[in-house]
Amino acid sequence: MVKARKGTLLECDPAVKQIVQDLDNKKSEAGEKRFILEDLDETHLFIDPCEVEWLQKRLDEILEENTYRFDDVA
Amino acid sequence: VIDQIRLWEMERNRLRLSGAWLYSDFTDLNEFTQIVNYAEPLGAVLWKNEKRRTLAVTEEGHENVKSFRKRAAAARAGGAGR
Repeated sequence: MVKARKGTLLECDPAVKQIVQDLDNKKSEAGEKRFILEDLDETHLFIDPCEVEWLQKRLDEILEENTYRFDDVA
Repeated sequence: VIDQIRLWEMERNRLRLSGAWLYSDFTDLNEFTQIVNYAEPLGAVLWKNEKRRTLAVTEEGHENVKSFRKRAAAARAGGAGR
């Protein structure tokens, strides 16, 4: 039986995907619901649309941190 | 400063989000292929993987795919009845 689910398709590079998966694991370890619904391939995830806003904020914070760190080295 | 902005932009562009419907668990590869062949010219396919028989359809395309599937199912039922 064909299954159809509503969600958000996230396309990103593998490095960002790793960060997203780490965030998902942390949520699970904290006893919260996972937001990754399906791991599609190395650059695509299917995620819970309710968590998109939260995820974008967390990613912005993390990526910004990394940019600063990069600047420090350079 | 321009380099910094460019770097920041690059980071921001590292992800793309789209509202979608994920179709999976096709028992029939033909059915999967038919939907892909129907939806792709409409620009409704965001992602697909034939091996996994899974495809992501745009929110706009979902209604089209839904009625296409209904028509296909009716045609199959009609064919079997004959």
